[in-house]
Amino acid sequence: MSKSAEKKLTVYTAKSPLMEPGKLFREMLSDLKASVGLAMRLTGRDIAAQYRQTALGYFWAVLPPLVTSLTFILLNRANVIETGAMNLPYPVFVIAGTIFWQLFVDALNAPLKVVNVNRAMLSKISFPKEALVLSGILQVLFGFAIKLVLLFAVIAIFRVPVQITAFAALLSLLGLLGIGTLCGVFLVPIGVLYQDIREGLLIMTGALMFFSPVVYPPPAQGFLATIIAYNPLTPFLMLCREAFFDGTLHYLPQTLAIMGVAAILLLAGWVSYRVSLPIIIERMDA
Amino acid sequence: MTEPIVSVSNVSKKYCRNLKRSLWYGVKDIVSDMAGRSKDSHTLRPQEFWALQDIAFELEPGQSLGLVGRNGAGKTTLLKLINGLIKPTAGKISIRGSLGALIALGTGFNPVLTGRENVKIAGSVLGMSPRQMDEKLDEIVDFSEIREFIDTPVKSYSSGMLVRLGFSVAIQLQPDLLLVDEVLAVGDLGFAVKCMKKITEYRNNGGSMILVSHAMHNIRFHCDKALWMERGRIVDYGSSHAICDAYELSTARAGSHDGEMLIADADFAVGEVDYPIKVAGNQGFGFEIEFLAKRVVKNPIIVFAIFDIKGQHMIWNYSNMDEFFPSLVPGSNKVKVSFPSLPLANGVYSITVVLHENQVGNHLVVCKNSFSFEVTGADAGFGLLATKGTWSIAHE
Repeated sequence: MSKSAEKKLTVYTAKSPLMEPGKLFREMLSDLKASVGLAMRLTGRDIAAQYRQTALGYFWAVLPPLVTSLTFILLNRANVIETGAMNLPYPVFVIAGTIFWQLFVDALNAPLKVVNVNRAMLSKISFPKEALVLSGILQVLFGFAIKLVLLFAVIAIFRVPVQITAFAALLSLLGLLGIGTLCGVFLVPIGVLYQDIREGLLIMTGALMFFSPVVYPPPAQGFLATIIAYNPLTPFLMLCREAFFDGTLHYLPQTLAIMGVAAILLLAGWVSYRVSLPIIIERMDA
Repeated sequence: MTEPIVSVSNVSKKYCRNLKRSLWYGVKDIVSDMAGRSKDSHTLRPQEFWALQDIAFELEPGQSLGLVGRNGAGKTTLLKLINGLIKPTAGKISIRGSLGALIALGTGFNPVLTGRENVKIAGSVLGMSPRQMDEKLDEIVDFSEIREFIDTPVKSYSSGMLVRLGFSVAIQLQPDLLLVDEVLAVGDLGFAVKCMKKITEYRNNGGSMILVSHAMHNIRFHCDKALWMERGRIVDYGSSHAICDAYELSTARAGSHDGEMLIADADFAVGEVDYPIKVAGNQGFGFEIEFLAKRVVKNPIIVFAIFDIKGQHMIWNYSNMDEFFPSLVPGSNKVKVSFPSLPLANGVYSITVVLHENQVGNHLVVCKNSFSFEVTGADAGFGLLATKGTWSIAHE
């Protein structure tokens, strides 16, 4: 029992937490702080559990981008996909693209996935809920780290020089992770209540890949060119590649601007996550 | 003046019966919460019902409260609200100090991971720091008594072992307020007793507790106050003994399925009694049961049984074996059973009465664990029975 004379007072009412924004943000920060250790434990648990019962182990992390890449490499060889002249070997282009893209997709799926995996815990144990999202991010980063090994292997095989500007790619990767998480967190309330979201997400991300410069460079004109130009993910993917391989940073200003907007939206997503969880929890007892 | 550790004022909670509608209401509630418009609501939307209505009570530090009531009375919902898992629809809950819960033990365990790994995660979920966890790990493993399996994946554990491990972690926390939901009957008998000891120890150190249990002897033994709930409303609130007696009598009144037989009343046949009923050790006592029958029961077999606090059968007497062959007539039938000497050791016991017709197994009325009493002053050492021995010695 805590011996301090001043005991922490916790109050629960029907009122919306947004009616007291100061209190809400203080609680958000203190819960975030309390979440870090737990998030690491949960990440350890989920990673260990995921790979302990497999024969191929961590190889499963690189298999999806590898298969996607090989498919497109074959299509490219067969001249089904026309990429025009490129200053990068196509396999390096496509593997880098899919690995960067997969970071976004994994981050997008992580919040909903981790909330669903921990349904029983959420409905029965009181703990800082931020830990779940944090653990989702850590798991995504773990998977990404393994995929980077694949990327560097391919880079070495094709003897492609990596530019000093590659460090700027970190910013862009952070952006892909952040935007994915942001969208994923916004989807949690509705996605936990309605299974439709999970089904739809798979199809949507599959389609979205073709409207992003993942497996081919953006075409110069036409319908696809317009969509890719307006796709907020385009600057991130472009910056990643140019920083890694071209030594240019043309897309840096756009990337920074979008990240600024995303940071504000991420805060809003965080609030929506906190506010909606108690309402979701009472509906997911089953 | 001490401030209450928990204060629940006019708390209501509504749920929706229909799943699709409930999901849709969920979306609406989230939107209104995000817009900062949610406040107390006292009206129901279509298909909604009150799971809790106007619940109010306070608990002083160091006190313990028992929640009693039939399934669906709202006890677990109330615990969830206090635990902060779900939001009240109206009213206010204030908690002063830290909160811990012994609810759904072993939740969050991953079957592939070992007991040791799961203990560390569970501790972390409950708010222990890695350092605290390292310090407590040995204690937790020792308490659970499954050291030899601690590095085995928990999927090979029995359900009892999982609960042991879950309890051992959760009880380490020593919060100011402990929420306990029907977990005292966990695992095997030995472990259940150990858990109860641990809870008593926690209470002796000044901890407060809210206990949900269907076992009245647990409520009587562990709680100062009790709250009786039915259909989301408070029926009665008061000292745990008074509430348990009233609740027991109400459950005892439960009749047979066809409504032709009813236990109208039952009491200790000792004239005026004070609650809680205390029976002097080795003194024998009588018990009277009033059956209200609508028809003749020619060949009734009445069971009178006494259980101890751990659920062990102390006695289980059939009326026919005691060579008592009554018949029940329409109207009131007062049956009395007495024991000239019942050598029970000191402790809390409960009584079960069953009425069979013609043969054992053909139940008319079952009134299980419905009356409690305490035996005091039994003059003996240890053991289930307290009886005086006559000793002698012979020298060659």
